[in-house]
Amino acid sequence: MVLDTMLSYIVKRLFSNILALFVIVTATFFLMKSIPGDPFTQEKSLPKEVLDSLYAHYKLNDPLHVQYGNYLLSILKWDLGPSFKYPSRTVNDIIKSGFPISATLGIEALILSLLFGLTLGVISSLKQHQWQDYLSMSVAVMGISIPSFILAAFLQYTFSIKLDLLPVARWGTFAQSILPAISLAALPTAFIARLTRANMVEILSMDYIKTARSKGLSRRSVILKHALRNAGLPIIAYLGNLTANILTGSFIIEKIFGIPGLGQWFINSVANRDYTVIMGLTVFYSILLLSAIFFVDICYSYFDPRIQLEKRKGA
Amino acid sequence: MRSMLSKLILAILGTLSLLSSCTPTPDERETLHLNLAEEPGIIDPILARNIRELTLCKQLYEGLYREDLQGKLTPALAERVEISKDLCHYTFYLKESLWSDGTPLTAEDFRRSWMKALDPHTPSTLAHLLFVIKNGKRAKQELCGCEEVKISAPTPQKLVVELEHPVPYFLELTQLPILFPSPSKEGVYNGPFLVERWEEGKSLQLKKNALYWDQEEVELKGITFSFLEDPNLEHYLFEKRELDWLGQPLSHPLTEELYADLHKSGNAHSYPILGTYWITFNTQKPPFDDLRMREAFSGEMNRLVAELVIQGRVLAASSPLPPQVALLSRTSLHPDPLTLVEEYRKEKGDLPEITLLHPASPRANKIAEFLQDEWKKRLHCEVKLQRIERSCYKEKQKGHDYTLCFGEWIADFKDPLAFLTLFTEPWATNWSNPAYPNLLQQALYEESKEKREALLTECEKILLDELPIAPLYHYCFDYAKAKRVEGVALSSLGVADFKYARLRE
Repeated sequence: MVLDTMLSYIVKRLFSNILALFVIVTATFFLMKSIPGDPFTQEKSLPKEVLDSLYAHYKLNDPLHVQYGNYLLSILKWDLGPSFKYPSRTVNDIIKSGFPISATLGIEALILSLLFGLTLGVISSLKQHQWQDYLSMSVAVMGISIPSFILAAFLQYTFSIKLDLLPVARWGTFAQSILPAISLAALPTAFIARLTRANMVEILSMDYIKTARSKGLSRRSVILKHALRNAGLPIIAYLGNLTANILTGSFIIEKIFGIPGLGQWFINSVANRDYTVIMGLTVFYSILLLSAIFFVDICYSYFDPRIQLEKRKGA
Repeated sequence: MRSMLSKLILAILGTLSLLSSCTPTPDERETLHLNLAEEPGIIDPILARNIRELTLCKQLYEGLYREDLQGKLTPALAERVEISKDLCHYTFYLKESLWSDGTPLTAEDFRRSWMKALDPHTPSTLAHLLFVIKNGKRAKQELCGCEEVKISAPTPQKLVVELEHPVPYFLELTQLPILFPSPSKEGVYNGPFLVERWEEGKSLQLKKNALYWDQEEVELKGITFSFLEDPNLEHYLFEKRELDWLGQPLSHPLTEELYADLHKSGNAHSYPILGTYWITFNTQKPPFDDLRMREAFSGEMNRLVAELVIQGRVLAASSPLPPQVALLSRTSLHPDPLTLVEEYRKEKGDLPEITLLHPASPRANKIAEFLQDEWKKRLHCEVKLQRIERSCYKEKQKGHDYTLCFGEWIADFKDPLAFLTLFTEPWATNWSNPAYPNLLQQALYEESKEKREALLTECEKILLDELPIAPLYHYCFDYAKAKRVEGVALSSLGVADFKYARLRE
């Protein structure tokens, strides 16, 4: 019975995700075509004869609905086409080379933020209104209010340029990923810390915690097994969003540290009007984010038996 | 627990310090480290699109001619050339040379790649530079077959080209990558360097090409290009001596502050470019359909912008043509521009709203704000500023959807024509004067050097009299280089050539 509801829920969600993807692709395609300029307005202005032959070569003269139809077909075949700006590369190549880098950076940042966020949150909830609490919460406020690019520039200047401890930039070694990962993790760390503290404070005053303590369970096991597990639930819900933020928000960090990830491609393709890359990456990110949220929702129901899938039909 | 933690911290710090300090190998010391602000999209001389790709092609390929360190055009793969009296027939005799895979390079290679650039199905953005070849333009427009283009290679060392009209600057054109031989297979080069490794997104490593015809002249072991977009990061790496070059033409222009800073330490330099920056008037729209208003708004803005905004590093322009190719030397400024505006006001009533449309870039923003102030102070005219994203800006410019905007041009070759033909292009200005294209056409077909010059001078004079644009300044490129780097040839077309570069110990 449980398995049945689970399955029908998954199928339903899958359909709604495909529908969402279709809407995203359509909206992006027409929005993109409606911005002034094209892939050839970037460099020097070109004579008409040359432009005409370029448009014909890239099939930009076709009516819009034909271009749209062709594009939908190519997505179905997962052949995202060659980039305008980098004709020797297809969007598939770009994803293949850039995504692992962005993902590595993202996962590092995710681990960092979970590790430090939870620790700070738990400490400050246990030492409420003591100096540990004030310290960790002021760190958290700073993490939320300092924009990541300022933190990145500060870390780069201090640790690489002044102290010469870590490489200034580029990608390839673990050392090169430390500063970017910290910069990227600051905001989610702070957020998770505050979320954890708020939840822990609430849960620690619940009756079942008192019951557990009075039954003679150790403080440690009460905190880890009973309090933290419940306090962690909203954090799991937040993870879907967080993955989205870390993946799309890594652009500026990648730029500051000269990391050849996917974030840079996404932003630059819009400025360059590199149509195939804009579309390809939008589709790719959408699939990624829709699945992340989907996955988190399923995990959520697993961790929290109180949630009944049928009640979430509207979700 | 505590001791484990401290061990862990020690271990991390240890690896960090190991990772951050890597000493360069001897080969590294003979390698030039450069940065391209944007990774090249493609490395093929006939497909190269921007100054970075062109610079790269210059290192990897060789054409008929090349500029030397002094900027003088010298024969490269051309042994000698015969030019017909009417300047329409060029016969090149080639040196014997090899591609990097050992196959001989022949006149046929030139013929094949020029044909390919003119093929309507090749996305070659600079193909218009080959339109001087007879039937070249018609082939691109699919009005005739490629076989009708008048390029032939009767023997492996002889290349014959027939041109549409006399082209006194054709040898100048042969030093541009678009006229280089493009390889018939991937990964083959014929220039001073060849690609050793290209790690997408990270770096591009070139090494010296042992089969290059002039390889004794090449001292560098190799060049490594990084692709870092952020100008601050580039500056940091330059300061840490991980990069030997900062700024143009490979990367972003230096900011005024950075230039001033680097200038103090003797690292910053600039070199003049055949390029001009100007204000474009919409001559079909009041108030700039009136010559007096155009004159008033030009005023001495060129001198002020060059001196006060760009702090004297650039030359104030009095003509769209930079001094290297200019034919006229004059500007009699109107002594009192304010009276011109007042005259206009008396005659036609209040001025309509004037907006200066400009692209969002640090320098354009500065100039626009400066002009707005000056016009208000000097002419009592309120000008609104409209700042938009670059591509949108270019579209608006193309559609003549502006009253005032900025225009710029960097020449593709060294001849007044490189600038003068621009003013017949409908996208460049909204101005037209039937006499102008006629004169230009006459000049195009004129064989006599003196007569041609007289006709072109006439054209320049029309521009200066009618002022469809107000020239502001002539470009220069800013860069900083490490003290150890010498012998980089900087062309007035912007491209840098590292063939003769040396690294001092």
